[in-house]
Amino acid sequence: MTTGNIENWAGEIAQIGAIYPFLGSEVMLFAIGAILWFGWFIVQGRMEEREYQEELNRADDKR
Amino acid sequence: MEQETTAITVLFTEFYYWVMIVLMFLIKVGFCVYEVAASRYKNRLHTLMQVTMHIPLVTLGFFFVGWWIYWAFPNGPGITGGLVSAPHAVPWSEFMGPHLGGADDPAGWARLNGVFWGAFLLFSWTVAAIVSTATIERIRSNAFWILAVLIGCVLWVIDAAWGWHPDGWMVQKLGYHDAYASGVIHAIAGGFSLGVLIPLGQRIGRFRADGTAREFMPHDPWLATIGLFIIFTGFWGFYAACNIPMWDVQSGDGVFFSATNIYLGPTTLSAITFNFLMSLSGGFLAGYLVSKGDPFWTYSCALAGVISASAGNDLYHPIQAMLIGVAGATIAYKAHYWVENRFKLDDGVGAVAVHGYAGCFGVIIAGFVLWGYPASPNPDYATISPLGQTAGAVIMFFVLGFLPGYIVANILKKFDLLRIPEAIELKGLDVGQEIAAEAAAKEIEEAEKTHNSAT
Repeated sequence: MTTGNIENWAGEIAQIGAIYPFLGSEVMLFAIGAILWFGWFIVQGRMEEREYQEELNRADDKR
Repeated sequence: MEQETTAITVLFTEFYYWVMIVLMFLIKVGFCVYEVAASRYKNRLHTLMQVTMHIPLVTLGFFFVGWWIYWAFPNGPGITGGLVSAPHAVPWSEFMGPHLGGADDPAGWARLNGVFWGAFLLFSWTVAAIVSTATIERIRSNAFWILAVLIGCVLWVIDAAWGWHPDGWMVQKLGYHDAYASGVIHAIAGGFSLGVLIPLGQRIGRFRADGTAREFMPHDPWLATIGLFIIFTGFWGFYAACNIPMWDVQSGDGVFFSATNIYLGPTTLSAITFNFLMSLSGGFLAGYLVSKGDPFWTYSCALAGVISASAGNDLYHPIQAMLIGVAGATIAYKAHYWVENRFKLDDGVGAVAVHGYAGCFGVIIAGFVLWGYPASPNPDYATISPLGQTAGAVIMFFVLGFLPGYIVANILKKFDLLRIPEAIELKGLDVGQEIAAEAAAKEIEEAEKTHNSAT
């Protein structure tokens, strides 16, 4: 079982290119990363709105 | 050093490690700032001295014995062989002082021994500082410094000889891979801290009668996060110092120079630049959401993110590093509060979680993501595997971390040497200095009044 294309470091090092695992998954990784990145904005935006509403409600209750 | 290319390589390597030592000083500055800020005001000065004075103590210990352990213990000893001869690292060796090399040093080791020692010393300071943060506000300074020398000059150095050395037995037999020290620094420090925290006990007032925890807020939350930010800056030096800047990685005939990890496997500074920043970002993003924007935990989770990806950050794709950072930071945060609530563990800043749990996760996940990769250029050594990495995580966190910390802290406790007196804890560790400062201010005020009356 191997996740990379490097079996050992004994060959011609000059011929080795990418060394990260799951070569070929770059587009999928980009898609996952981009979805998480955009998704963070949405989740955080909703969280911030809830926080402000709670504060406003608390301020209203004090009055 | 007569050959120009040899001279350039040696002198460049010497300068490289020297600069990284300077950068790593920032880790120490950051820990001082962060730890003092995290403590309550009444304890700030003693906390500063606690985290400062391990510097000279660990430095001397590392000169006297630590450096020799790293070079002598890769085989266990007694696991894959005996002690390895390390004449350049014994404290009375000529090479442990200014030395130009003489006739028998074609590799220029005399010029590199000091900077290499210095880089490892800064790692020793780091591992001791981690333990300091967990134990604030109730450990005796003397006890902490004894523990700091133990973890900084002996235990982590043994783990480095075993798992952070090109021929360490864990690399040979388990295929252990831990390029930027998720296990050899962070997991062991977290495990050791946990072992000390159990006999040390909670700070007075930390838990309510119903068992829920009270938050002991940092007396300066702004300074605590700035301290962490300074640690991130120093961490760059740490990462680069974990590499060897220039090495011929072509086996057999032929030459090919590259930067390498500590195991002499090729990598690049670009790789760690991508991965450090992406795993930091993953930690930041996850930390902000799970902690609901708490500054202290957002910054702490960013650090946990880097620590989680460190074991394999020489090889991961940056987005893999980011995802591992997200996962590791989330695990660290959740596990911290679960352990706190379940076991009433008082960890001042979440050090056990950020370093211990994230470090263990980092070591183990590398076994899956880098499964089958060569752990070393030596083809006879084991390859990276989930089993090998898991065994490595257990050795780091539990065998060399938790167990010795627990045993030695209990011995100190038995002789009443571990914890400060209760009355001092309630008044504050700085009470003597506060009284002296007030008396001095009053005396100056009287002197000024007398001066005014006279004139």
